[in-house]
Formats: sequence, structure tokens, C-alpha cells
Amino acid sequence: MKTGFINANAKQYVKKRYSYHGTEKDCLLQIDPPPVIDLPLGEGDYIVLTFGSKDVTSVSATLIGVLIFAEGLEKFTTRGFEYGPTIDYGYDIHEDGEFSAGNYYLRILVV
Amino acid sequence: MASIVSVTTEQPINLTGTSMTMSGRVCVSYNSMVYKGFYFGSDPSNLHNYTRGKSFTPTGCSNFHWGIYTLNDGSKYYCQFWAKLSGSDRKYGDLISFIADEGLNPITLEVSSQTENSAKLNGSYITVRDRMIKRYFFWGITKELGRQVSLGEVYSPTGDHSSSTVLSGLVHNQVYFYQFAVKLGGGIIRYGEVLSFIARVPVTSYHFRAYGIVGGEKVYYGEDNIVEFE
Repeated sequence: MKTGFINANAKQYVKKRYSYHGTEKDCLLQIDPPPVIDLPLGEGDYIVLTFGSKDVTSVSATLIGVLIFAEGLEKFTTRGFEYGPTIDYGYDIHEDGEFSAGNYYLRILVV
Repeated sequence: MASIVSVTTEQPINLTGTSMTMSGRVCVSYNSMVYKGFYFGSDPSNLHNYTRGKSFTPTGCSNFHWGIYTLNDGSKYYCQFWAKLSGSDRKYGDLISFIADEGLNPITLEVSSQTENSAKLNGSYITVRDRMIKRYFFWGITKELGRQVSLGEVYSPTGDHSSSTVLSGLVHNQVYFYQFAVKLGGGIIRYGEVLSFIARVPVTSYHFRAYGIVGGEKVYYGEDNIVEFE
């Protein structure tokens, strides 16, 4: 297995070479901002990262998450955020579908 | 031959809420005895004549002043300087107006003690002499406001003063506008800025974490982050 960073079009990517059912595969993920992360170590691993926020106002913010998994694996069917005034959260925002690896962004309003 | 070249009513000096000094300027072509005075009052169609008599005025321009000590703070007044030479008609400066001003400027402050359906409105003002002050909060769901809370008249000795009132029965998440105001003698109302707030418990930050679901059942979570709202 091989990992490393490349830069393409000023965007940050992380590239992983992955062995899947005996076949070498590449997993290329666009990451914003550049990560310091542990990549999936084994077959069938998935990782979800919370990647901060942007476009913050007094009443709203865009939350950033990232899904990481090797190509060929089953895709995520839901991606979202739990949020709230405490770590008990209390609110949820999500979207359903078939989601490949990479960043996703959802905007929340202060409740 | 001596003549009056120009007569000018100048802006009042030493203006306060209760007093001011009228100021006029006359320019003569030769050393002359000049008769001069001021028209003054709150009704421009019925001004009082304050004649200053005559005085020797050297060639050139001279300023003349007269103090008035019976103003009502916040009231509007008019003033006009005039001058004449012996045996000639009066010449007039422009009629000018001003408002007696004690520097009493109300300030609308941020709300406090917010809940989902109530908020405490705050305002402040400074007096430079002891006086009675009427206080108001205007408020509404548009910048035109439309509703008001009268806090009545209160004795306000020289210094800083604050006022507040609690609005209740507000609609959760509705934006409200409000403005603090004070009323002076003479019926003049002075206003602070129009500010706004949202009816809710103030939120300064949220915790959040990303999550994803695979196959409808396996849930993966990211770590907790915090977003600080501006």
C-alpha cells in the first residue's frame, strides 16, 4: 500500500494505492483543507472526517465533511452532520443518494 | 461718503441647551457710527428686536455679539442681524435658524436577556444638567417600527443614564427592529439608531460532526468540531 500527496490545479488531493481482491487500485480524493489523516488500512474500511466550516455568518455556516473509501466498495447512501449547542448535538442535516469518496458541504442555519 | 458695505448674520456661538450668543458682522467703507441690533425668537413671523444702540465702527469689518440665556433645549430659534448708519435705512443679514442643543443624544444598545420569545431592550443617554427626561422604545418587525413602549418621565441628574424594557410574546426566530428615544423640553424627540435582533436564545457556537451511512445501516462518524458564529 502506498500513500502520498499530489497537487493538481491548486487543489489538494490525497492518493492511495489500494489492494482490492488482489487487484491494485488507486483512490484519489480531493481534500479541502489539506489533511493530516490516517487513511483506511484494510479492505472494506471507510472513514468520515469532519473538516471544519466556511462562509460563517452570525446565523449560518457551511459545514465540510469528507468521505474516504477505495473505489469499488459500496458507496455511502447518506452523508450529513449532527450539530447543536453541545456535543449532544440535537440537530441533523443530511442528504440521501449514492455518494462517492470526497468532500461534501451542507449549509446550516442557527436554530 | 461712508456707507455700509455688507451686513452678515453669523452662526450663533457658545450654543447650549439654554443659552447662546448671537453674532453679526458689518463692514463699512469709512469710520462711522453704526446702529445695530438683532431680531430673535422662535416664531419667524414674530421676532423680537434686540437693539444694541450705536457704536463707533472703524473702516472695515467688525463683529457684534449679544448673549441670550432663556432658550429651551431642543427648540428651534431664528436670528437676524441688522445695521444702519444715522439717517439711513437698516440693512439686514440673512435670517438663520438653529436648535438649542444640550448634546443629549440617546444611544440604542444591544438587547440582552434573550429567550425564544422575549428580549430586554436597552438604551442610554447623558445629561449635562439635572432635568426631567421622557424615554421611549419604538419597535416592530420592520424598520418602520410602528409600536412603542413609553417609560415615562424620570428625573435625570447630570451624568450617564440607562433605560430598558422587556418585550415578551415575541415570535421565535422573527427579526425585530427597535430604537431608543428621549423627549426633551419643547417636545423635541431625539432618536438613537435602529437596531435589530432575532427572537431566540443567542447562539455563539455549534458543535458538529460529519457522518455517513453505508448500506443503510453502518454509520461512520467524524470527530467533533466547533463553528463560532460571527
